[in-house]
Amino acid sequence: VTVQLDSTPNGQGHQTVAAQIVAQTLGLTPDDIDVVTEADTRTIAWSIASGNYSNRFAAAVSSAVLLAARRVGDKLRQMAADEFRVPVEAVELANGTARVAADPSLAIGVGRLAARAHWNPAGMPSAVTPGVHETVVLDAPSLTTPDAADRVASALTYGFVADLAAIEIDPATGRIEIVRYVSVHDVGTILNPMIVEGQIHGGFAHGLGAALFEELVHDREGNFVTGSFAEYLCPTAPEMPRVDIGHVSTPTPVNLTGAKGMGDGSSMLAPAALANAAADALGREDIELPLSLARVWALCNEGRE
Amino acid sequence: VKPAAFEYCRPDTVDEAVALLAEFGGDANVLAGGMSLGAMLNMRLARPAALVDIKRIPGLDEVRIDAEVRTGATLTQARALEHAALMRAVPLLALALPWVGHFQTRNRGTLAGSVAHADPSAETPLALATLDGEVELASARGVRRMKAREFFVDVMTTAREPDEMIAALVWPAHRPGTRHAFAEIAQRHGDFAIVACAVAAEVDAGGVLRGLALGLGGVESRPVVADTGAYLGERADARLAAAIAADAAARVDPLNDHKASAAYRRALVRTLAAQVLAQAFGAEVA
Repeated sequence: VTVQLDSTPNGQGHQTVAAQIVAQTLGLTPDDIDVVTEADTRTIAWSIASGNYSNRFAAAVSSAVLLAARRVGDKLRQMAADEFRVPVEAVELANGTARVAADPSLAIGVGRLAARAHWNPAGMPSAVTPGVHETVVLDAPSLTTPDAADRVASALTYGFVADLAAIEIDPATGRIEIVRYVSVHDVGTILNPMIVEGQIHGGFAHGLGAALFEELVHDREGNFVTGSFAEYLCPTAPEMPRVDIGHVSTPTPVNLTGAKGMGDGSSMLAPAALANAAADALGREDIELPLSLARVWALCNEGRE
Repeated sequence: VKPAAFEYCRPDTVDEAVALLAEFGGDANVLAGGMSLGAMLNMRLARPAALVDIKRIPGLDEVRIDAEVRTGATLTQARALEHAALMRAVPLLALALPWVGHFQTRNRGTLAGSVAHADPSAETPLALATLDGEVELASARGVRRMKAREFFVDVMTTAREPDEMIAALVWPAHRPGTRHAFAEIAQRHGDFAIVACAVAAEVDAGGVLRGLALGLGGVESRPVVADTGAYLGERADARLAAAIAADAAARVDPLNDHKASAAYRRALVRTLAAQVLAQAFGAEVA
């Protein structure tokens, strides 16, 4: 089975999740599904979902994938029902076959079934068109056209995140130790738990970098002094604290999968949560990021030197 | 970024290497592990006409332990850490090397390369200066030795002549009864230290301080060894550690850059030196 996406992923796991959705719907395994994500605007549909933003994949594309898989499945079941002379409702897709649950002798491989639509389209049931191929363009009612001021809400739905940071500050060195970090998400239906966890950890790492290390610094003469990764410090594995992840799952009604999307994980929250923790620890609100050693030390010791 | 074009030379002996350095007249860099030089070449902070790669000169990574300890120019930080006899003979090095870079970079980075590079925050130059070790310099003109405390001149600047290469580092042999400690503060794991402290202290059976070297890295433009002679003969305890640290902090002239203000570096000297001295004295931190 080949699935063509227009969501143009760059590492967010679209292939994995699309294969998982199609395999579940058609009674196959993810290994049976080849997901093509290379996009050429001359040959594929180019939609507002093309380009990885506003959590398009989980919120929109995954539902289009599910709908296309259901339509393909319905067609396969109709063809099998015609072959076995049973009502279509009696046919299920499981273990790589279309089969009649009540009669184990009535089963045909999905591959053989699909081949009929290719080799003998004239022999198909009268109501079924040749080929086993479906294209779904999903339109969501919450997506409107830009208003008079050319503004548009491009997100179908919104996930929710709450982060909690407990830190300790050593006033002598300015060192912040993250004692506990908890991140609770409502991403709606969790399409793939491992990908969700990975995105939360990855997003947190970016947030941690912004909170503690990464800074564009110019000297008094205007020279950019953090122009390489030797000076623009990003977090590395030893800087990552444990992140305790929790979920509250409220499926969204605006799409078929109930997934709200959760790209970026805690990247937006970690800087705010860590800055708030520092503000609480130091009893002051004028916290600037990043909370580098030198800056935290200065906040702890201002006026004492 | 890629390096500017350079000629690559791979001599088989130190004699060949120093002949090449003389031939290029100061426009050649010695390449060993390349952990600092590689990045500098790529960023074109270094644009030598030639690289003289000494990595495959047989025997140049030798460790010799006699009345003094001699570590050859191509001895990597990882091999040094694995060398149990060397780590026993120079305990301060055993404490300092785990702070150098990362597990992976220590597989290529060399002790002598770090000394030649002379980053003011680097751990190996600090350890060598603290222990009053020496740098053995080879050139076509001969071999000479220089005290590490004189070798480091300024930020990434040493007393090495353009036609010289470091052939070895020379470490005074460990005197039984001497205790060592090392610690540093860096922004991230494996980064160059904002401030690093190294201590070698001799405390007699009565708890009296008989010898002391307190080295400070990252504070000034080169490793600093604090003047602590006035404290010899006093009881080595946490109170003394705090007093020496406060004295050293008052006397340094710290760097002031975007990583850390001079005031922050001075405060770190006071905090870190007190901890490291107390540890070397075997005292509880005050």
